[in-house]
Amino acid sequence: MSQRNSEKITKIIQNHKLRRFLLYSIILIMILPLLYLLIWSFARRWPWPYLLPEEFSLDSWRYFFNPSSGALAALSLSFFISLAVTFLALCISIPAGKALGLYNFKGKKIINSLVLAPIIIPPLAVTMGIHINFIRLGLAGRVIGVILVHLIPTIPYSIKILTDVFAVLGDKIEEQARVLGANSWQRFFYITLPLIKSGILSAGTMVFIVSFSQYFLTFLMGGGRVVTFPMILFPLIETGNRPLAAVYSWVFILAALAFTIIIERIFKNKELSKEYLQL
Amino acid sequence: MKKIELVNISKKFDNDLILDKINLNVEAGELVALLGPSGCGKTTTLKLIAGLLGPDQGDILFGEKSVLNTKVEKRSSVLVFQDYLLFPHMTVRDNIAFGLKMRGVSKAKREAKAESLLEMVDLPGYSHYYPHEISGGQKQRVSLARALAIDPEVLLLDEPLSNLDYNLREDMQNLILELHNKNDMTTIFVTHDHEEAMLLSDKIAIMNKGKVEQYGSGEEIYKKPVNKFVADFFGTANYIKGRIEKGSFYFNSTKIPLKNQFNELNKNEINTAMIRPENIEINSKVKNGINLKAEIIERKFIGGKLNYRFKLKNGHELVASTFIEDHNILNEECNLSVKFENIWFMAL
Repeated sequence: MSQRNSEKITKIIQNHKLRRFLLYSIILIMILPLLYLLIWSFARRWPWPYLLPEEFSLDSWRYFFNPSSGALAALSLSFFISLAVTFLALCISIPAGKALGLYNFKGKKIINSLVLAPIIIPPLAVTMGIHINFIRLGLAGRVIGVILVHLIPTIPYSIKILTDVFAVLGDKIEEQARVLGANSWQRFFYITLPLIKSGILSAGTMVFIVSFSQYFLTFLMGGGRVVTFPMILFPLIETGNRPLAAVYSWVFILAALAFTIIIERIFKNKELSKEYLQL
Repeated sequence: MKKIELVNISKKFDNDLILDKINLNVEAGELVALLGPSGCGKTTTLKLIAGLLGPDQGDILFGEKSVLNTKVEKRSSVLVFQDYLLFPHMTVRDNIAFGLKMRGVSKAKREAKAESLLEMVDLPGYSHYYPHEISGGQKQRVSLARALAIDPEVLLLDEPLSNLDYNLREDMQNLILELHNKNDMTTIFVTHDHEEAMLLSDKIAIMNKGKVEQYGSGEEIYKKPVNKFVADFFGTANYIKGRIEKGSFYFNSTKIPLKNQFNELNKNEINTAMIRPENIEINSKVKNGINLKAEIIERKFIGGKLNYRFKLKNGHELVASTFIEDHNILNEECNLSVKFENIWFMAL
């Protein structure tokens, strides 16, 4: 009976029509809101119950690109902060991931579970304490403070990803390089780095996007003086300027998407796409 | 080419004693096999010589100098791992030239060397392939070439043949011998296959439970094992219990004079005679030896060789093997004889 059931299920799974239907519905569900946003960004008035806006206009887009709106400045600041966070997070996560993935030491289990703590514990609780200290250190309200605080929600992801990457890679290949005469820097640059490139790519992209969409931490630590893109976007959604919020949202999505695609293009060379490097 | 000496080396992993005061002398230019069952510490020994591990106790000398304080990358030894470990993101040529690149050799020079080594290992024209594009045997050749590129004085091979198909093994054995002879190296390799050890090496160190049980040529170890473990590891053997009386060995009423068929170390504890199956002659009589009446109870043809099982009058069973010559006389009584010189005594 159970075997027949499982056969039935397999048949259903193998049903291409059903599979395609599910796939397209999921894509549709994800894309429809974006389409809706796109229409909103060109709308002036879109009262209920009309299917399409009463009036179209480019006002919102024009406002966005007008330097006085500060949108582009915020966008570039956001890029700067997120790139800096990505760089710092990777600098910390590569050695940390290697240690956790390859070596045994006292307290490894505790550290392994504590690494995820910043994601599990509400950021509000953590950041409050940090905020007070940052004020004392003169870091609050400054870009450097925001960059540092963005490391809290991002590092857990990058360490986790790189720990797994190193665990899969193992340390034998480095030992081989070592007996062939490579010192520790040579081993890192010629062997380890090229082999974990795709792992660094995933970790970096993850860190960038999490940092890029931070609102609360930037708000708290920047004290309103560090104006990143989400700092402009969120109030817009709240105040109900829907066309403008739609424009910002689209730019937000495109920026993150563009970053991911560009980074992949730059770092994913032909060799990396080969099957043996899918770490 | 350097002499290697291990002096009283001990190594523990989490309180497990892996190596227990090992001593080993490998002369310059020798090819030595570390032979033993898995877990006997042979790979650990290899890693200690390469420097990937440090001993808890003892010293390792290359030539006359201790290398304990020499970093792995500065020792003149190269270890070739069992699973080849070619760098997947580099071409075959870059793999071979890697060690030279790390030493700052110019591109033109190291590439020329890589090409000549590829020819030496019989893989000309493969320089632009990536490791995933070549077969296991070819990977093995590339990893050997990569090790030889830096002209090591000591070559260490971890189970060099165990991942290869049977028909590739012979080729690789010959290649290893050829390379060893051509390149003036001291070579140590690890294996668990006694035939492989005997085929390749000048000397064999047979290891068990973190100790070197016996060190010598394959022939010596086969014929004159120090104990039952060594005897069994090198093949089948018959053991006959007995006692020593007035310089002779007795079992039942058979007397064998003791001359020099024993190891001086356990002279006083001898209680067993060991006879290899091929030293038992069937249906012939020898003068300087023992002659026994026995019954054939089993005959097995195993290709080029026949294995027999015999039962002596007292119920004791013996195994013997002959080449080609067939004694197809199941359940019949026959005469078994063994020359005195082919009997080896030991303490069990």
